[in-house]
Amino acid sequence: MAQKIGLIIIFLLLTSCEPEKYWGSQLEGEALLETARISGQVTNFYTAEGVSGARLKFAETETAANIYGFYYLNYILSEDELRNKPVPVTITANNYYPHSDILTLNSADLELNYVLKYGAPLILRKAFVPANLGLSALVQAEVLDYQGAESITEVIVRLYQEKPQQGYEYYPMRRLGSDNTLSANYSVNVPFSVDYKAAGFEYHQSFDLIVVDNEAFDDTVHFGINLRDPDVPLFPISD
Amino acid sequence: MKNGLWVFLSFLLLSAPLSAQLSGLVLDAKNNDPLAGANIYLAGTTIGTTTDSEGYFQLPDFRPSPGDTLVISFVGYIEKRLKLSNYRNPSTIYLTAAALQLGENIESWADRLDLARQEMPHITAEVKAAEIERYGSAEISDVFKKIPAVRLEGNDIDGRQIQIRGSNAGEVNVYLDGILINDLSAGNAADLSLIAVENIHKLEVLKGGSLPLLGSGAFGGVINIISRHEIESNMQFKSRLGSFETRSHQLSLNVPVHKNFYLSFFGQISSMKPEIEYFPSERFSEKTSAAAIETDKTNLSLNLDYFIGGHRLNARVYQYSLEYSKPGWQDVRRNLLAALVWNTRNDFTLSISQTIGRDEVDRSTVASTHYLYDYDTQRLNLRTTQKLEWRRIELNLLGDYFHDELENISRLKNLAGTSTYYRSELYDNRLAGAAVLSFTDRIDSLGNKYLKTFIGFREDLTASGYSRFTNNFGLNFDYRRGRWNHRPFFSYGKNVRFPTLIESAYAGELSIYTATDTIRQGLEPEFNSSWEVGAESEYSFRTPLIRSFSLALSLFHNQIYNKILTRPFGDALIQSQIGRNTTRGAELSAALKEIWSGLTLTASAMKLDISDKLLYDYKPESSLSLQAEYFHPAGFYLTTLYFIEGRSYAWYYDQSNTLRTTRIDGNWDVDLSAGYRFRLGGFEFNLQASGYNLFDNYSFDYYYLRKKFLQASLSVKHG
Repeated sequence: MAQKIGLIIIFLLLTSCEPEKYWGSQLEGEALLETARISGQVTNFYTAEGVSGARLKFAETETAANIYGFYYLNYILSEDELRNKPVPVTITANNYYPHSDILTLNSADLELNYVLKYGAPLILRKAFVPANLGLSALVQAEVLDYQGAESITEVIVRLYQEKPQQGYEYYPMRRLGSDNTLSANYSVNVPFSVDYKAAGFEYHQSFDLIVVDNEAFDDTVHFGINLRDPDVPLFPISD
Repeated sequence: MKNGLWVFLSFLLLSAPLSAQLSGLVLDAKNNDPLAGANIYLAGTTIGTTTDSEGYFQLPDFRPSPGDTLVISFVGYIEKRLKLSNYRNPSTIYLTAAALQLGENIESWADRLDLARQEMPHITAEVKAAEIERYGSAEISDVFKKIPAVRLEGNDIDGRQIQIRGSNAGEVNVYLDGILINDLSAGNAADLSLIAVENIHKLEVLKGGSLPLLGSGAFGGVINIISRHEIESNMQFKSRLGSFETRSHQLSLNVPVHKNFYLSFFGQISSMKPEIEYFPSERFSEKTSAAAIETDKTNLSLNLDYFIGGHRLNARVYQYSLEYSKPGWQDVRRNLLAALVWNTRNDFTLSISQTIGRDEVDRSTVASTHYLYDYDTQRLNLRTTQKLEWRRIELNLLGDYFHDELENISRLKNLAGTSTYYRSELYDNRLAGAAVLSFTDRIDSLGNKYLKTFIGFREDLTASGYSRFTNNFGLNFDYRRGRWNHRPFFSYGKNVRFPTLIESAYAGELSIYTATDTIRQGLEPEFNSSWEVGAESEYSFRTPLIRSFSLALSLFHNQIYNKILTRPFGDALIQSQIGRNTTRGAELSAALKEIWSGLTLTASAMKLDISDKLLYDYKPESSLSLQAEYFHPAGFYLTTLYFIEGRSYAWYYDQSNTLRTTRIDGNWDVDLSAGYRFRLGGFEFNLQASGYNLFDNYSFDYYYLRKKFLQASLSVKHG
């Protein structure tokens, strides 16, 4: 009896679906729409490094690159695009000049590499040197702009007060002569006092360096101040 | 005078067999406990005695006659009959407990169903319900940390999987009450979250790649999860609170509806907000932490047992669902498993099981563009087993039919709307037959030395055109002397893993990873040949201060050809089939059980040598674990586990998009659990607190971290 029930159950299970599925095999899928699998790398024009987080927009489909600048996109081609209608492409990344392109895509796998130009100024080096027996400090910075040092409009030191609620103070930096057309040296003396005994040589004050260029690109870097291991001046103190 | 001496000597020789004095010891074959009050007598005579409180006996002087048979019997044990002429004085006689009557105990059925008992020689480790409960883990996979040479991988959202002796998780077959639950994904690994910890009766690990009945395609070994269904009427409720807003509530019921009909139910609802950290290529920036991940889980199971005329009919259903969302990824997973098992009294089993899985994934790297993938998997399995015994020959036959089906739909949702761009309906069917034949040679007359020879065969045939015949050979020597029981063994075998449906579907997209790779047009099955030499020894102490000391050692060698390597690349999978890998290793474990009747100490170590670290990533080259468990009769218990994992290797894509391996430093960790169990009225309470680290080592490319996890639980049991 139980044997019969078992057989009936097997029979029901087998016949409930398409029977050929139960002895045959199918190992291939079907693409319903033509797709282009696009991959590639977005790199920095000046350094050839990957652009982390670059956003790529192919018509209505968007993706983002990983930290090495690699991206991957599965793009669905419309009827018109299969008949060579061009696809607008825009690549954007923070602090880079955007790049636009018009492409005709086909359904093959594509490797498309893009190069973006870095637009913002960059703070290369900085130094915070206590001077005048701890009554003031000299702040120095070397700033680069791939569009030429001339395009840098201002470099500012934003010094945090001892207590956060006191806010901060701004000190614009003075440009020093430089031979290099891409980078320039900046310097400023800021009032700075510290009670060495109370601070026990570890003074956790901090400052920001802000660089702005004529296209309103900027670069802001936050630095901590460690008096136990003060910075060495980057270039001779001229005055 | 000379003649007189000869006469005297010949008198001595002649008289020797005329009078005999027998002595010996009678022990339980399973746990070496002395059997007090066992009967020892000569068949058909009145000469006999019983054993003392320590199992010793001494038969008085008697005159033996040729052909006398010595009978040793004890209530509840299988009677033993020995030819007196074969008895070497004094000897230890082991009696085996008689099997319980049908329908008396479900566990005896579970044991009979268990193909693990009939497999090639291997090392087995098991963890029982009480131990699991005391360990205080929220997930089954954590419990596996207790077992030597076993390592867990994965995390709370992507699923938790098990590696055995440096194998990949997909090379471990996981059975839930005899049903294979490895999924049909590319990884082929079983997600152990399917079943809740509290619903387990026993966990069993069979290590080794040469297991033709259960371990087809499992180069690492086999895991058996035996779920809890008791015949006593009881009800249990449990609530758990833990870190990361973990909340979990469970209810289990065992109801004997009729003397032949038993019903059990288990249900769990749990939620958690795990904190995970991403590695760059997942989130395209420096490691970020996201606390907003939410997971919701439900587990349900229903089991019906019906006993009639020595047969058993069992029906069960398991349901598991998981929903979670993390930035850029949403997932809804549902699994349903239904099985019908029929056992006859002459050791025939037929099981029909259907596994249905649905996985809906929503991936986005940018908020405006979503890729939606739906995976529907189905597996129908028909399995018949028959055990035949004929004198000292045992034959175990297995017939298997698998129908695997995978439907995948890929959709793109962007600013223009949603469009379906890819659909696949993959299916394949597999037939397999396996036989394990074993001969037992009793080397000594008392049956205290056995040599068991195993020969195994297996044939697998798939509708997609693969066909492979594999064979296995094993030797198992069982040697008892006094309180020692030694079991040296050897096993050698071949094993085949067929490409999964996804792997076959991606066969056209093979690419090269290493210089030694070759591009193939189609995939070949993965092929494994392994050998293992090992020994398990146990010494049972006579003193009540300590029960036993056990030692297990194994040297193993696993060679794998045609290994398929599947790696995600972007939102695609790329795949290659690499030449070979050799894993060599040694495993050692020792345990002192029940010191002062409550303390158990265990230590284990493993050393691995893996030749291809790209194929076998995340496998610590060495590991060591120390465990102490204490259980006080008054109800207090404490469990600690300390383990060290040596360095391991993982893969990643470098700046030029080339796949490379990187070294990961070793780590160590401590798990702690303490609780108190007490009775109040008709209720049994169990109050527990435990702490351990949640490991997340799903893949180096995602995230790798450990998080402190603390939890407290209270369970109330009635009945």
